[in-house]
This record gives sequence, C-alpha cells and structure tokens, in this order.
Amino acid sequence: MIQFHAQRRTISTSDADQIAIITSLVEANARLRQEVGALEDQLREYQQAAAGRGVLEALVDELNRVKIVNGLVEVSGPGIEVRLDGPINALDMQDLINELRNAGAEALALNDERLIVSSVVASAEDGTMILNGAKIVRPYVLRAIGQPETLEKALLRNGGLLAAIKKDYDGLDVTVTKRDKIILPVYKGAIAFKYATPVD
Amino acid sequence: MKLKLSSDSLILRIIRGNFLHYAPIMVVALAFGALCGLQWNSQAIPRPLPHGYESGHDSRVSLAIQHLEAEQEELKETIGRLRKQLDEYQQRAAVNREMLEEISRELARQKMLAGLLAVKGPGVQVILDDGQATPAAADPNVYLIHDYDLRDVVNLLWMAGSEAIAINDERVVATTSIYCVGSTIMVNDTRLSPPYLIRAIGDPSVQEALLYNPAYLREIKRKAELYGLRFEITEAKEMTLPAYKGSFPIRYARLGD
Repeated sequence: MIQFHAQRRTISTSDADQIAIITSLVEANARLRQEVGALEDQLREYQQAAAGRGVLEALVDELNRVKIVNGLVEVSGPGIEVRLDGPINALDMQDLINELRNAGAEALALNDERLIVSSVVASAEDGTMILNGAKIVRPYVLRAIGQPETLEKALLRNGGLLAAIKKDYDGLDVTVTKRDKIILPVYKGAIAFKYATPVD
Repeated sequence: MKLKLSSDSLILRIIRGNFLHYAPIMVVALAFGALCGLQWNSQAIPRPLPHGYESGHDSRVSLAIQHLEAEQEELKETIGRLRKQLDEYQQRAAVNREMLEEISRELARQKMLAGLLAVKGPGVQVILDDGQATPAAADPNVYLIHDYDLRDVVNLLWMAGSEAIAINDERVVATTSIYCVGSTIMVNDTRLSPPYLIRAIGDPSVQEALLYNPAYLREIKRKAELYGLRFEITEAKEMTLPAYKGSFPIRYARLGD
C-alpha cells in the first residue's frame, strides 16, 4: 500500500496549495490546542485559589469579633438595662461596670457612650459624669449585652454591689430590666498608639 | 463445533498453546503492522490521488480542510472563553488580594487595641502590697490591698492616657474584671498574689502627674501612710507587656442592629 501511493505521487499545483493549507492548519491547530491547555492550567490554579476564599471569610469573622470586643462596631443582643436616677459617684459606677464585666457582659454602654477597654467614668466638677470625653447626665442608663439572667442575678444578689449602692445613696432610684434586644452604639472617640508598639 | 485447523495457521497454533514457539514471528508481525500504521498516518492527510480521481480527491481534501477550519474556529472560541474567564479570576484575585491585605492590616490594628499583641514602650509601674505592720486592734482590712484599690489605680492610668496596662502578668482587656474571692484578687479569672505590679505604657509625665495628684487614690495614699501599705511609683524607659492569653467568648452580641 505504501509502495502503491509512493509510485503515484504526482502532485498538481492546487494539490501543493492544499497540502500547504492543510499543513498550516494542522500546525496552527496544534498550537491553539497547546494554548487551550496552558489557559486551562492557569484557570485551574485560580479556581483552586478561589476555593481557598474561606481564609478571607475566616479573617473577616475574626475581625468582626475583635471589633465587637473593641467597641468599634454597633452591636445588638439580649442583656440588661440598669437605670440609675439620682446621685451616684463615678467610682461606684465604675464598680458597677466591673461587676457586669465579671458576670460576662460582652458589650457595655452608659447612656450613649460605648465602654471600651480604656473608658473611665469620671466625676465632673458639676456633679455629673464624664465618659469618653462626653458629658453623661441623669438618668444614668447602663446597658450590657450578655446572658440576661446571669447579668441580673449578679447585680441583684443579696449583699451584692447594687444592694450596697442602694444603701449608700439616698434618693437613688435603681431599676434593673432584662431585655431581649439591646442595641449599643459604636465608640466614637479616636484611638491612636503613640507610646506602645507591638512586639514581634 | 469442531474447528477445521490448517497446519500453517499461526493464530490457531498460538491458541493451541505453542505461543512461545511463535513469539519471534509475532514480534516481527507486530512491528511490521506498527510500521504500516505509522506510514499510513503520516501519509494520511497529504495523500494526493491520480487525476482520474480528482473530484473525489478534491472533496476529501476540502472536507479535511473544512474539518480543520472548523476545529480551528472551535479552538479559538475556546481560547477566547478561557481568556475571559481567566481575566475575571485575575481581577477577582487582585480584589481579594487587596481585601486580604487590608483586612490583615486592620486585624493587626484591632488585635493591638484588644490586647492580643505583646507591646513595648515607656510608662510607669505601680507596686501595691499589703501593709507589713501587724494589725493590733485595727480592722485587718485596712492593711490589705483590695480589688477596688487595683481598679482605682488601673482606671486612673487609663485616664492618664495609658495605651496598655497589665497587672502582674495579666493584660487588662475590654472584658477584664478585677474582683476578689475571699481575700484573693482575680484578674481575667486568674488568681493573683501580692505584691501587685501594675504596669502601664504611656506618657510617664502625664501618668505620674495623675498618680501623685492628691485628689486621686486618696484611700490608698492614706492607708500607705497610716498602715504601711506599699504604694510605689516608678518610671520605666521601656517595658514589655504580655499579650492577653484568654478568650473573648462572644455568644450574645451580634454585629449591627
């Protein structure tokens, strides 16, 4: 058969053209096929990388959690509301905040000011309070997000802080209310580190 | 059914079990076949036929060209589609990379604020310890450092613009409570024993101004004077505060309203 064809190889011009066309087509298609393969390989890499987008999502979750702790996002959840109407010392207010933190409060605010790690309730000259540089006026409403019963129990227990505070102040009206949903504002102050630097 | 066997039938001899005997013949036969196939393939496309077969030849060649052209078109379409997909992925990856970098930066900042990173810097250290004088008739409580004493010092240090505070080796974070169980002071649910070393990074001059201000920490200062309670303030050029090692269990608070 091979012999048979070899004997009859008489090629016309148009045949030569056609062979050239076919040859170039075959070669071009081979190159194109190679390009398809290369592109598919690249695409596969990107698709695998896209599957690893869970990393990004996990980072966002972690970021949001830390921001809740830092008071840099608005938060909502169940908790309690402590309304104090009357005279009360800033230090006692601070102790009350400590008591709520001890009972597992996840986020706190006094009136419209979110409490962050460095927030301190201070007494102002006129007998009002200052928190985050803002003036806080009566009635004082301390709100905490956390397990409502646990928070309430911590405050209302016999011989607890609230009982002592009530005894110490004449004319201080205190009400503790459990809430299904409390919305706490974001911390509005500036945060900058001038002296502390992270240690690697 | 009985097979009629011819003595020169190679196949049948193999079937009969004399395979090894005929193996060399088989190898030659296979090699020959392979060679034919190879030749056939290489000749397959540019296979001119005599002019007498022109029309049939033409249609076959043009059919091959048509096939190849169709294939080429398909390949080009595939390449176009893949390039477009790849471009989308590349753009998305760039956005993701940017987001990832931004989130990582922001997370590092937030972790610093949350007390999740060890930090160093200048500041002050305050040492508090129970009074050493033996209580006579007096209330033994006045000789002791209480949880509220530590709280008052910590709060004053925050007021003085401190950027990070630790008590002994416990970092003070947003969820930290300082309280006592019996006579033991707990910070971050960890028992502390005296002396209590409160270290705060910040501007030492501001920190000291507030600590020494007679309007603040009056109770501690009075007890230090009367009952020998230890209350010492030292400036530090540089100190390192440990990272908070506890967890931040967030079970009830949700983002937004």
